[in-house]
Amino acid sequence: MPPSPPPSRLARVVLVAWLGVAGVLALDHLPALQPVAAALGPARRGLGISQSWSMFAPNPPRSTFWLEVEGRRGARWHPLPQPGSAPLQDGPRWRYSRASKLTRGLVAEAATRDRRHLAQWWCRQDPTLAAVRFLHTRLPSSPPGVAASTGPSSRTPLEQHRCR
Amino acid sequence: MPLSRARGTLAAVQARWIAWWFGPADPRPLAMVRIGLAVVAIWTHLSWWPEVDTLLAPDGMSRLVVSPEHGRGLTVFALPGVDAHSAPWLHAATLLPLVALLLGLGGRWTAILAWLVVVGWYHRTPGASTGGDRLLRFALLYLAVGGSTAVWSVDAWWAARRGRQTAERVSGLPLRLLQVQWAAMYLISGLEKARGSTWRDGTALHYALSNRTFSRLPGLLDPALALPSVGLVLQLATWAVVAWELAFAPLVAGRRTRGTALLIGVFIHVGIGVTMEVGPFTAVTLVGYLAFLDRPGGLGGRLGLAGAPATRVQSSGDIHEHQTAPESVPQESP
Repeated sequence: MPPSPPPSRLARVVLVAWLGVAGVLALDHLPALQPVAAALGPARRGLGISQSWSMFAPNPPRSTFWLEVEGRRGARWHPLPQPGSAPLQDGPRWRYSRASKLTRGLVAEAATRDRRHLAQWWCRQDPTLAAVRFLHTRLPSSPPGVAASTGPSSRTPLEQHRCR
Repeated sequence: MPLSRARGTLAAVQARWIAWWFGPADPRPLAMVRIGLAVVAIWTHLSWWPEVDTLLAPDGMSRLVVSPEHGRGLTVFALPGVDAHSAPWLHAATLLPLVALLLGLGGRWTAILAWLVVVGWYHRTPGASTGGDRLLRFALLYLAVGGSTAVWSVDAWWAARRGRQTAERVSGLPLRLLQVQWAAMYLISGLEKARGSTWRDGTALHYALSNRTFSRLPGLLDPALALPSVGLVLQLATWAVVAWELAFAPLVAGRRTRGTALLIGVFIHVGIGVTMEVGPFTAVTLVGYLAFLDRPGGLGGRLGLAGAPATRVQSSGDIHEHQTAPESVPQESP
């Protein structure tokens, strides 16, 4: 039997390039690599190849937090059933809620534009709403050796949007 | 003289590097990875169902929440004419490539289609994507290199029916990519954790398990977390996790330590899976461990998965004759 053909030069170049891209994305916090990482941004987003593997690092959150959405009809504010916004349940949880993941990300300071889009969505869903407002709600976790906290939750108002 | 010696050393290093990345491998670990990933991808696909209207459909919440440039990428849900009524049907149709991947039908093209399906969810709703989804995307991309349907597949069954010999060796490249990706993931995570105060003082796992967003059994776990003895166990476990993540790469590289590293990983990930709901991460990670069964004398050897004589090599979808041993250095091209 003849020996197997060695990998082509193209295959080796592609492999080295791939490892280089992965290495840059893994080390994108280094100032020297940030320009290269920024240039790779479209590929990172397009292919979903970020090498960020924090996984509760550098620290897990010390509170359970979520986004509350309220709508105003007349003079009163009413809670709106925001998908993925009910993390406090005592029963077992068997299914991962992606809506919860999405909604959790909307509490970030930088998510102002996304919250504006969400407010517009709510205004479209319910034409009786005059305004929509958001609250960042937190239930602090108890330290080790202390019974689990059941409240009260702290509610930090975020911005408010008029529907019309 | 020193120059020629340096050249010789460089050539030897290059040859070993090529042999490690591209050398032949037993096809069965790669087939196991394919089957495992397909099962996880199908399960993940099904887990989207309750949220198709909210997250994937054209008029869903996420479509209007996320920035306008999102949701229009490489996803079937951005095709012209897709509406709220057709979105669930389209989602159902995207199950087909995943089932084909499970059956091993279509070679690397099915892996590419499966990757496109999974990437499509990410493009549609990037804010709902998890680390497990990302790991699944990487793994499917590596399967697309080829060779995953060489055995235990419809492709192999069909080839046998037509009288073609089944490949006994495939290119090791997809397995190496999976191994390096997994090792890099743990190293990056371990370095990040080592910077955190709660990982250093041993309270990180307590806070991770206390978080009601992830807790799978809060009614059971919350009272246990208040016990001092549980606190001590979690403190030791916190330090063990960081140490294990930092040591994973050198441990799996060692012939004698690979099995131990993987067993610790199985213990940790099963623990995470039982106590926390973190999406597909646990399942994808454990399936990726199957890629480490590829090594003569390693776990694969003990399980009877390695050491078969090399006769035919399937590389990138093509079958070549091969006579080199798995760890020998292939000939350099002229």
